[in-house]
Amino acid sequence: MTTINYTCFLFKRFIKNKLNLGLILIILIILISMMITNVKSGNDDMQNHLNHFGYSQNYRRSYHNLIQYNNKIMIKSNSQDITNQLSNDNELLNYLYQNNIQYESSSHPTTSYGFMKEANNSYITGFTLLIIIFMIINLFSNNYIERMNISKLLPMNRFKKDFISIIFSFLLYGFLWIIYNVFSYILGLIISGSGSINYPITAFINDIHNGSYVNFGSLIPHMIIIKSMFMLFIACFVYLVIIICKNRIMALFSALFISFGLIISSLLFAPISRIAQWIPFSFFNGNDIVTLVLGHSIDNAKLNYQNGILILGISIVIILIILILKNISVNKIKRI
Amino acid sequence: MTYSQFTIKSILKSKMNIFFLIILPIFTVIFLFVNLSAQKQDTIQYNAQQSYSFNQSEAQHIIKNKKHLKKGEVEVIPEYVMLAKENKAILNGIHKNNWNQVYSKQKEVNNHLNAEGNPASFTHELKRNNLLMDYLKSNHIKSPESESYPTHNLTFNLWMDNFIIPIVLLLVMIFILSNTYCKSYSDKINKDQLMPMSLNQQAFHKLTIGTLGFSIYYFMINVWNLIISSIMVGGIGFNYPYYIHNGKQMQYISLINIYWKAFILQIFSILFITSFIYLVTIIFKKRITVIFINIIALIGLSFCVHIFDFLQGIAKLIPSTYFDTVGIVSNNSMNLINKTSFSSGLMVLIISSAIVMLLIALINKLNTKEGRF
Amino acid sequence: MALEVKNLSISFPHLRVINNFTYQFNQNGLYLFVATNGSGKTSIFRSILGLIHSKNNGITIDDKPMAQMRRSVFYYESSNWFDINMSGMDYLKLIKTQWKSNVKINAVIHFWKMENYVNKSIRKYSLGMKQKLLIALYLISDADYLIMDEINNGLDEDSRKKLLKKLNELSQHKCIIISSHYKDEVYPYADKILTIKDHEVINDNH
Repeated sequence: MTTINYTCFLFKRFIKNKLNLGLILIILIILISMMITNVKSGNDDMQNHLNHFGYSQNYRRSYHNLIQYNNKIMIKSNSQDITNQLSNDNELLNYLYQNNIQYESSSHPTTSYGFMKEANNSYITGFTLLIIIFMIINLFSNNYIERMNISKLLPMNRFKKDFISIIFSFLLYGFLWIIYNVFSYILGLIISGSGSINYPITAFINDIHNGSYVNFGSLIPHMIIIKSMFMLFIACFVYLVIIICKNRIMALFSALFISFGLIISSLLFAPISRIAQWIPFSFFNGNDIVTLVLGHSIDNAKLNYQNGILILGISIVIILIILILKNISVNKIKRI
Repeated sequence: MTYSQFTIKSILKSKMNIFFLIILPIFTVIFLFVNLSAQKQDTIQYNAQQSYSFNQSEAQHIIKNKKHLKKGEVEVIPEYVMLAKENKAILNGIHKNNWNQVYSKQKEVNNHLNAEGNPASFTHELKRNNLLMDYLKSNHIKSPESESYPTHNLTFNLWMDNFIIPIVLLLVMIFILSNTYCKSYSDKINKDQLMPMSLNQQAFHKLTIGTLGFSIYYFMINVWNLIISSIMVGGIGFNYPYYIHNGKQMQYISLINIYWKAFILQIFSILFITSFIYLVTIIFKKRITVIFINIIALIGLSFCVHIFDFLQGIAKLIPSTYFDTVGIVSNNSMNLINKTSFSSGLMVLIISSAIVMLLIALINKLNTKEGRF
Repeated sequence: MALEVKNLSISFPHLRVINNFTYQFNQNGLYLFVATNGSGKTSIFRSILGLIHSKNNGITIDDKPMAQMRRSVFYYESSNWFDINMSGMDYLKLIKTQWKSNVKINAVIHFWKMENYVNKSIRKYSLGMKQKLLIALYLISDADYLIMDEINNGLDEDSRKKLLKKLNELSQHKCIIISSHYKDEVYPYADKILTIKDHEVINDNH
């Protein structure tokens, strides 16, 4: 009974803060503007080529024709870049042909599944991370006044309170993620229909240097698992930062600085890219981990799903142990 | 005590602000160590050694297994042998301190590697390396250091100015200035209205403190970088090469030419950032909201111009584009080559700072009219 | 049943605040702390509740550590602690649930005439309204030990009288520890007076 009510209180505290609603709204506005851009951008080169080969009459035949055309160009071409590009195109076309799927631009998708994939790119995921850090800190830093934790005064077991707070943050992150995915799905559905869940995406699962096309739908369970682990990790991490900093601005700065500092550093600096698999923040975008796209771009094959689960799991356990030890040590001091 | 003195004291007496301010000096030391460790695998000697070992072992392997290999695979033996020889010559040149020989041989290696059908990015790298070799040779510079992970005073400081300082300084400015400016507000009421001083005068004092204070801080960080890297590693000449784009052409110029322009651009960036944070503060008043909006508008936008196509078209007109001072001056700013310049940066930063200041004055006037002065 | 403080000493860097305070607060009665500003009244309250670090040989309720007896004590230092986005009703409901109190929320709201604003967000409250909400929280908690720091600040004269009358009534079966600037108003109702002089807490016979 008491726990439910503390959770309700947290929920009310979240809802009644206009900033939080504003933050959610910003994500939705960004998604709408992304969709508008995608719709406006029109056909890409591949679509134009396919149209030239009779896409509207029979899209499977147009794939076949374009593959043959590309093969002819490849024979004549001296450029390695062009050859690579065309063989990549052919691989995609072949996949679409075999699975009888309609082509969709990967850079400007408008169908539900295509747009959901785009909505989970690194920029939107990074932006969502920024927003959730603000939200969690805004929610729990209120417990600290003059560096005193006034939530201690509640007649409630500390472990229980920490547990509720972390789970609440985790659910909040999950809620945010579901909201923008569902919203992306609906936007796509309104504009171009649902699309195919089996649409191929580039992945570097078998070879970190050479991508191949894999079924998007088959990767979804792993994406959800690693994303959930990351959400739980962030919930634990931000809560720990708040407890250590005991001050809203300090906590905000530290959380943003550490998380984004490490994410950006692992993307930009080779020495840090090499050890990115040990940094839990590197796994912020589940899609890029499962497909090894991130590992490919920073040349680190160890940035994969298995290591993600391991490192995030260990990090969560370490943070929880720190929280437990902190509570035990505080209790001991008080008994002196 | 003057209003300005009071504001400065309130900034410096906050332990939190001091914590923010010491982050960059600490980063200097950390990144110097990172670069010292990383540069070991990014020198001419290391690359030549690696290439020599690889080519030699490949040649030996093919010779050993000649019988089992196809004709085409055996034909490449002379190429491996030649590359091994050239790399050995580079290593000999380094041992004899004959750097002219090193640079010439490195160019020969690059030219051999620059075969038809290579990916464009690889060809580009080889051409760039040839230009570097030419510059080093004509300027009689010996023992060049890693381009990606420099550690000598001037090069390391410029590397810090390029990769670390703009973003960290921006974050530190957002937190310190938002925190300081928002202190004037309690329940969205501007307590400083009660001071016997106009709102514009207050704004002037606060903007001066922000701009001047952080310009001095930026200068001191640069001096600190130079001192630490000089003590721990050593100095390097003013004519050391720095990679730039001159139009679409690659070029190496003396790094001192980058310095002063980057410094000026940074000062004007600081002026704009300070004014913008103040404008956001007087509009939104609430600390956490002000910080969020500043992070999105300043940091977010400065990243987005490099990423999104639709922004790259108008990047020239966006002030946050120019926070990447060294990138702008050297025309190396990611995805923005030839879209910006030092002069456009100066113009945009000055005009946008003036517009922001006008908006501040306008809002102050509106508040005064409404009796909320 | 008693709240016992053994050898409590409080100090901050370069500043000694309280030296070796030992006392037993009984289960009923009104204890008034009297001292000049900055002498350490609030620090004593905060350290009893474990909000700040202190040296002590035990702060217990019925010989059990304070951390285990949270439900027996209520302390909410100031109306500045409220999250101004929340309503008074949100806080009243939370405290009632957490302290498992049987006191009816509506009765307290009616007693302090809070009907018109209790459902509005706290940001819209005046200082007096916030103070009334703070008092209401103490009443709703129904805790055995009520520790109140300057609780009658910001109240008009009638409200202060009403509060003292209520506290007098409560002190018959609860322990009320209070500090107040309106010493003369509280004095007649106090069972024990504690004064702080030169970092020492002195039991002033009343």
